[in-house]
Amino acid sequence: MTALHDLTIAEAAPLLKSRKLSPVELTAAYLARIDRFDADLNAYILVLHEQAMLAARKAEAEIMRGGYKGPLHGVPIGLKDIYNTAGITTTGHSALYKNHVPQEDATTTRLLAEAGSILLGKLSTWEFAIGGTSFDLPWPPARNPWNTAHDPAGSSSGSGAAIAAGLAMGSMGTDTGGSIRGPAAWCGIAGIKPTYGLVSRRGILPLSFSLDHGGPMCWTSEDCALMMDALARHDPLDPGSANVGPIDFAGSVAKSVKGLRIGVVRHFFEQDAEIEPELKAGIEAALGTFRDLGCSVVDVKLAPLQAYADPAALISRSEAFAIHEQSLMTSPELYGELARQRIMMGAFVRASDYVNAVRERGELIRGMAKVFETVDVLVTPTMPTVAPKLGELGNMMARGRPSFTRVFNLTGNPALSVCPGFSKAGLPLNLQLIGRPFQDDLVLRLGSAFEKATPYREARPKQWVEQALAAAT
Amino acid sequence: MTDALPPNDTVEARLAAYGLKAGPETLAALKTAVADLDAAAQSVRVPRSYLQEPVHALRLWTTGSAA
Repeated sequence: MTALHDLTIAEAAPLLKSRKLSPVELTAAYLARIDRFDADLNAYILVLHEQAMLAARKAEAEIMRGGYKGPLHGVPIGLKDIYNTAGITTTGHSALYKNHVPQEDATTTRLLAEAGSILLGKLSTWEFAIGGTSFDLPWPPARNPWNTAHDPAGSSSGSGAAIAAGLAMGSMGTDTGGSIRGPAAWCGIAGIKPTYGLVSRRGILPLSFSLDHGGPMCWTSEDCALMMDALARHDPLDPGSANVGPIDFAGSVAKSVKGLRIGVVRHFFEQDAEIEPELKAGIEAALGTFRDLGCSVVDVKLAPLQAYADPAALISRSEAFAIHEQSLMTSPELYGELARQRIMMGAFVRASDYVNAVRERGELIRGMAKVFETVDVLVTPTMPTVAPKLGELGNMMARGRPSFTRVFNLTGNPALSVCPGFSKAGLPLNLQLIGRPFQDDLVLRLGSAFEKATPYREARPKQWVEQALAAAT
Repeated sequence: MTDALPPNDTVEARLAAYGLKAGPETLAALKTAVADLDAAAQSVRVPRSYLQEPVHALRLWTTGSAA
């Protein structure tokens, strides 16, 4: 029998619905696993033992009396600690917000609770979702479960680590330049940055109003679809929220991908930027799988990678500085070094450059739409490398190292990272699938079909468990 | 000196004007980062038609309170 912490949401949901699995049993198992192993991973900033068990008992009572709410009912999840939780600290992993207790839930926090999920706790992040892997904050950085000497990426570092390690069934990350997809890539899980406006940003600590996205991170794309069914709602309190009507994510994921046209943005990783040979081999193998699934595969051309990186940098830095300027003036010492550096950059962007960056953004969005007239899904790498050692990320935000992920924060398209295998060192490879705006379900469908056609969802990180057990004896 | 700043202006002077404090480590990294941003800014300083308007991710009017 599959261990409880290795169940996917899709596997657990029918067991919970049919009362073969109790939310109390499931939640207790996760809490025990967190207590036993998270000291090696630092995925959690705060574990909500009592509250989680209370919610689990409530879910159990509801299900027992026939009030099953759907696939998230009784499912233990974690939230990146920039999602507001009423009455529970929301720190941004920063000394500045160490005692910040919001009065209201984020819209997404509320939606997940209404769907019956069980909140296990708040997850580590780069400071305010920008600060990088830092050692000068009140909490240590999260580590990669595939090898705890390695980086899980960020900024949704704890969200990625917790899922890979079986310390939550689903988690929420945020993504301003790749902060869901990067940790999904390096932790070997599925993570989707939804279309801009599809998931509410209300009550999530902002970094860049026009580039921030909230989204789910799970072991599989199918599980991400189940979470999206609860999350994709119009929110009048988010001025960027789109009102596009219901999308049946779970239903869409179950459909065939035969006939889909896939465009490979080959110049991104063969001319515009370098990727590791093992990653390239993983992508080529994945393209073979897509062909086997009945998809057609062609190369397509977009603007050069740097053309997206430049306006994205100007916009994100300006908006981040606007948000943090007052606190940086009054309490700079409460920021970690990396966050302070990265946010202060925004003070040096001219207003006209910001406006022209936003004009350029429109051109790039139109160019992207043109390419999507010929294909249904784009393929690129998610990250240029496998996970490096913790603290050896370098300046990944430096110009000349353009990101494969930030492109789609700028254009707003949905983008999913999936795992297409492992390196010789046992670290996850990565692949990014991108769709037309509001066709997130199609991207998840392709991701799910790929995961079901390949063996990579069978492998779980075990090394850190063995390390922890060895240390305990 | 960076391109983003007027003549005789410096990163240090601009920080002081903003009331921002940066230690030596922050300042060194910041100068590199500002040079990167200058290069990014150069790439958007190109002739454009006045018909090319900014896109807006956010709506001007909302039914809910922003407060």
